[in-house]
Amino acid sequence: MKTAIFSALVMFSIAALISFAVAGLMRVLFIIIRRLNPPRSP
Amino acid sequence: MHLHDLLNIFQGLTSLFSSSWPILLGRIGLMLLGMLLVYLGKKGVLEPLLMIPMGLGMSAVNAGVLFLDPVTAAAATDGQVGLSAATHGTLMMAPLVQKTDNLMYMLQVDFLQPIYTFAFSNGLIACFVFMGIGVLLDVGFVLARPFLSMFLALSAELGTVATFPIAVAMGLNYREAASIAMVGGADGPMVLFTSLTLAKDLFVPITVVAYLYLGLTYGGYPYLIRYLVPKKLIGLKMPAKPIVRVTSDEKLTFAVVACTVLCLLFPSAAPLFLSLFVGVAVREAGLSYFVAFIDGPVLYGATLFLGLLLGVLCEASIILNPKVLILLILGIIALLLSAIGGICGGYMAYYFSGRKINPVIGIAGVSCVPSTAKVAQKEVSKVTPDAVILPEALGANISGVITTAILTGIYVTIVPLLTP
Repeated sequence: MKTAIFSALVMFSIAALISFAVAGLMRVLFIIIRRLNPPRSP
Repeated sequence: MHLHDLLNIFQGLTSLFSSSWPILLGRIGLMLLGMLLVYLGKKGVLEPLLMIPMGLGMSAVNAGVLFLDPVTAAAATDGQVGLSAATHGTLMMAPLVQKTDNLMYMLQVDFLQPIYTFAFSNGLIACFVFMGIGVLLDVGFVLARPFLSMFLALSAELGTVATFPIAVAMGLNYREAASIAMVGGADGPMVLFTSLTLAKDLFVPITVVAYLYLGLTYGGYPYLIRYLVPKKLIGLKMPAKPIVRVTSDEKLTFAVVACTVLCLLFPSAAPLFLSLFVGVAVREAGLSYFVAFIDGPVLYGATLFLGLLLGVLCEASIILNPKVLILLILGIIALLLSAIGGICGGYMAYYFSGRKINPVIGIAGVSCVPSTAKVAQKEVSKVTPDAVILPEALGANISGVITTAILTGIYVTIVPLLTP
């Protein structure tokens, strides 16, 4: 049981880390693309 | 003509009354449950696209049990001719066959066996549904507010994480516990994929429980919102922010990079990531013929056969497992905890944003796309008709799909390492 709780916490921590890394990746990509290829004004 | 010949004509009835009491009651109960699912699907209480073929399949498979000849009975159960214990079976599907010779034989006998073997048991149908979800997703909502969306989605994974130790405490092994815990992610294809990978023996009841409960989220979550969030906060209007226009180039770049990185991190869940992001990429690249193909024949064809196969898998002798009751309890715990976690995340976002963010958007982190986002907007509109939370709710909703896919990858990679 203790192993299960500990494993769940570890797995959630990894998921949180990767999810926020994906969010960071989105932000960085967004900024880079905006600089390289600024959207045309309508 | 002897009585024996007469009984052979109506084998469905004869096999029913020659079954043991639990199987007899189970078959009758499942026939009635199938009819109820069709009725609830038609009435819109449960998802009709899935429940109508599933309910009909469930009724038909439990009614259409006949006496198999010794060769077919042996092939259907991987037993030996003449020594096989099973005499009852159907002409629909034999999900327990493993040996290649028997499988080749059953492919020529059971009419749904080819679809089950070549598209269901390897997760292809789940991936087709996921491709369809990808085509429907607009990642622009996430790209506009990535950190808020991911935070809410992670909060709404409480059920996925907390149900795992609860399931272990209730006597399931780690693989089974991880599979039923995925119900908290509220994403049918991912529950199917995880249970097929980790707990093949229990994947039928787990997937059926998941799809039944997912249909109920649309009906149950509004009550949970009203119970957990005061009316004043439900109607909270969020300050209008300038609309961040995200171009299709930006969305496509994100899809390509995120797919590659996630596949690199979790090769076990790579089919799921590829399916999701190929849908997103096709949409953002403007490939309208592919979009029409995935959005139409692929998604609806996969949903039809998924429902039909799930229904046919609900044969009394397969689904009547002592663990089903535990799975029913754990499934509802997982979905309930995920919704509570999402709303708690919404409250945290509300306080950290200086009381500007409506806490109801938290429940949209439960990745039942787009049901939970629609539920959140509907509840808010009931209190304040001109309050709009849908863009933020859809961001959390789509992030929920991504976080559930990440947790699927973690479960299918790490849980087998925990099992001796």
